[in-house]
Amino acid sequence: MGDDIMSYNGGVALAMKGKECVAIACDKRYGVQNRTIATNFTKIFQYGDHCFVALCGLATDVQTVSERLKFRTNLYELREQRKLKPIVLYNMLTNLLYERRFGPYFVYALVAGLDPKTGETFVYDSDNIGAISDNVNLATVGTASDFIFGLGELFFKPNMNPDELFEATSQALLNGVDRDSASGWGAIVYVIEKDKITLRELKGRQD
Amino acid sequence: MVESIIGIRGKDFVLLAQDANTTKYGILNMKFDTNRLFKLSEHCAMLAAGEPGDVVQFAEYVGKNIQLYKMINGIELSPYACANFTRHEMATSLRSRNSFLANLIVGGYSTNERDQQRVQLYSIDYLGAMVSANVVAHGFCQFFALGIGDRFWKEDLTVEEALAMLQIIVNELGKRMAAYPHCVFVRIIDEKGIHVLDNMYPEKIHVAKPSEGELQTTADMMDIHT
Repeated sequence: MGDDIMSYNGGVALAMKGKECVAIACDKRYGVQNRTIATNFTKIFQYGDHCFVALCGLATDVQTVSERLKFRTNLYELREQRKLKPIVLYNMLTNLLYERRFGPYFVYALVAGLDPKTGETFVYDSDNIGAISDNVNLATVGTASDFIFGLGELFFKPNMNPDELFEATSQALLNGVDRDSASGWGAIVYVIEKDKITLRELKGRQD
Repeated sequence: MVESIIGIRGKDFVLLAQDANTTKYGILNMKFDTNRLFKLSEHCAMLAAGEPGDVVQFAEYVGKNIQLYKMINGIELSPYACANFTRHEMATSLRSRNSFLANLIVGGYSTNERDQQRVQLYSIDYLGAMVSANVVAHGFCQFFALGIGDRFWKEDLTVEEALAMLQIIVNELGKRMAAYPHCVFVRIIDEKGIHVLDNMYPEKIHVAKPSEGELQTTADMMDIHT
């Protein structure tokens, strides 16, 4: 632990692709080093009908980046008179992060989304200075990301339906956070499909 | 870190408590009636603790700006809005020349009927991370207040129950903190506004007198005068 800024508050998020659906999940812990202060701090933010961002890292920067991104996406929607696409949101986010290249925000980001007309799925991730990734099947960020990556790779199958996707995402997250003291205390999972978005809260080990 | 500020969410009120000591050099008690509560609006107040100068400067800056908003726009900001404004100022100042080492609790009762949660309580740390919870505290008292809150807090707490829980917390602080809180100021914010309740004091610790038996040493027990 020491004075590692990225694990000061803890937290984790994960996104996984299915067939015409994506799932994005995060834990709910807000802590300061080894103390847990609250268990209702979710790290997923919605920026459009089918565009979600998860931000993990220093809690103050999670809130600041989500607010600044909201400002930019609101302005985009007003000026362009159209809704955001996931790739556009991702580019806006990475641009926002790179603006602070030499004094960065301490957040790692995940963008997950869906095109409701074509059913094309998008999952991207980014480091804290806005490194661009490909459209991947699975992405995780946060203090338990290494643990969840392993589980996620194990549970992932191509072209999963929404229920299978939910199971895979939840199991990967819940079991991964059990190995990390700075994450956990419940989780939320969004499953995004063409016509609906389902939010489920998971209880998990309350420690 | 030694100053205690605690907030407890009740059924239709928020209880804000603060210790009233000011200590210097880690050992001296300078003052027993320090006020750490800063009124933000008629139904919203902020408790602040941390670096002495920063606390007052930041709290007054935020308080006056919220009052200015009310004068310009004619409406009172809800506690949620006040807390978000405060958080934004804290986060902005974090990466600037002047950052503030102040931990805050913003609590109040929202006068907007359309708010689902009328009783609002937020904790903002010195980095600008804001969270809403039923029991919030900053400083060393956090270790006691959150644990006791986990045990005793429940939905729809009445004023008496909340004060009873606060008394348990204050007793524990009195028992276990080297920086003894001689007096705790208690305020309550409900739909009628901010009210000051009676001060709370930690309960006196009774320690049994040491027995005479403990004064006897092994040398006394040996009879060396035969």
